[in-house]
Amino acid sequence: MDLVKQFNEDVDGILDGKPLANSKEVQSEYDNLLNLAAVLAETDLIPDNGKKQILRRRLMSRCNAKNTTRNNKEAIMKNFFRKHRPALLTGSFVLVTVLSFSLIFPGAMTAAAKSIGKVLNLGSYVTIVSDMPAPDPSTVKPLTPEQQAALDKNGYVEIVEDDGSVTTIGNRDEPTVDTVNYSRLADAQQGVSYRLLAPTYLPTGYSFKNAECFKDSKEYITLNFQGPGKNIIIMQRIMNEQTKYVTNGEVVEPVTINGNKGAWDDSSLVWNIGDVNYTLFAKGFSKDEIMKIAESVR
Amino acid sequence: MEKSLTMSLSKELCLQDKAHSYTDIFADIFDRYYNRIYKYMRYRINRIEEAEDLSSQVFEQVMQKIETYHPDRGAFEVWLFTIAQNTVNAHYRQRKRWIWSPLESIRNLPSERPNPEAVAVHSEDQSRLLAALTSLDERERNIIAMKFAGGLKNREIAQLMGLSESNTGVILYRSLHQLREILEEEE
Repeated sequence: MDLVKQFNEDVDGILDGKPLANSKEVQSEYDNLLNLAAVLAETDLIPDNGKKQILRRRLMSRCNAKNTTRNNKEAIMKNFFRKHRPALLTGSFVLVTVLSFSLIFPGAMTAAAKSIGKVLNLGSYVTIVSDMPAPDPSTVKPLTPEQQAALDKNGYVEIVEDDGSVTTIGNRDEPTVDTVNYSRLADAQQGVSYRLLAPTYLPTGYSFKNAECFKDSKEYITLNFQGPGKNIIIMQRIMNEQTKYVTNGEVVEPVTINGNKGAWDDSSLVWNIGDVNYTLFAKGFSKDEIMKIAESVR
Repeated sequence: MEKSLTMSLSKELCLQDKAHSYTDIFADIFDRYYNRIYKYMRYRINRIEEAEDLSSQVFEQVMQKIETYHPDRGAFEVWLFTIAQNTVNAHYRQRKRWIWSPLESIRNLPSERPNPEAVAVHSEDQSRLLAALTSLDERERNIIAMKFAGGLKNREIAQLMGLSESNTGVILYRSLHQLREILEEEE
């Protein structure tokens, strides 16, 4: 057994680059085995470099697509805000979260911003622009039936060109994001990394209904309040590069809430407190009443 | 990829720049390990096209599963070669008919296309070596491939194969003995 141990130690030595000490004219069986080990270690099976590079490019492209999926997740979280809006904001304040579009249309934001007269920034991470046109759906090239059929589980399809380059096209359907619901406001703090604030004032008959967060993020939360009228919704996000967004409103009016800069349009209010951005939707209430709710968030 | 994993991988792979993105890290993994994985596949499969295909599958899986790698549970190389081993096993399961072909017929299978190694000085020796490996059973071949293509330590191979470290050393010794005999018989 000592021979086996010695042999394995010598093999490790070969793999570590130590030279074989075979100077004898007649080599022993042990030496022959070590020689064979050295041949196995040193045999250079070089892959076809062309194929290797094609594979590398393809995988890198997939990697980038995966990163894009991550970014899309962030966009989806932001779209979560948008999804609640149609029912609440059929009026003029149709906020379009364009970040997801900017992934598809690089530069769309810049082009849009240039064509609009009024841009209201709430800090570095929230921008509200007036009358920004939604991206033209006709500019979105639909996937061919073959590409649709080839979409992988992440919603991406790879088009391999003749030269080996790969274009990854994403399905524009948003991937689902797991959410977490809290039925008690006290528990909702677990869903965000910052100090959760809720309104201390609510219109008569209204109370906390639930809070929705994202399973893989502690940056967003939506508080729902129910009462005799339509739900009051307060969406919150901590502001950073990942969560920054641009929205569009037809008539945006600057307001001040407890000394903090905000924007008002129709029945919606957007404002910041510290590093957290708040958006309040309260359809059917007066501006004064909505301002009162917002001012109680502190 | 979570920052903690990115940092752990950057540390384990000795990446100088701490601010590596997921894509950078994957590129580094590919560049560092592709040839080793390919050689491992050739030692286990021998056929170039299949070795390329399986190597590709390994890195596809690495890309998809990288977030399941936990540095606390073991070295990255062990995790990587676990994927490689499982990929070969799955390949064999799918190709049972191929496996049950007479070994001689496998040895004599021509390559599908010209092999870059074929022009190398020692191409004949390489071919003989690769052909001789096909005569070993799968466990022996796997250990040799992990040792000499993967560059893994016996301790790591033992972990991968569910063997003791000493048993792994014994199998490796006997396997090389057997391989040596096969090569001598052919001379």
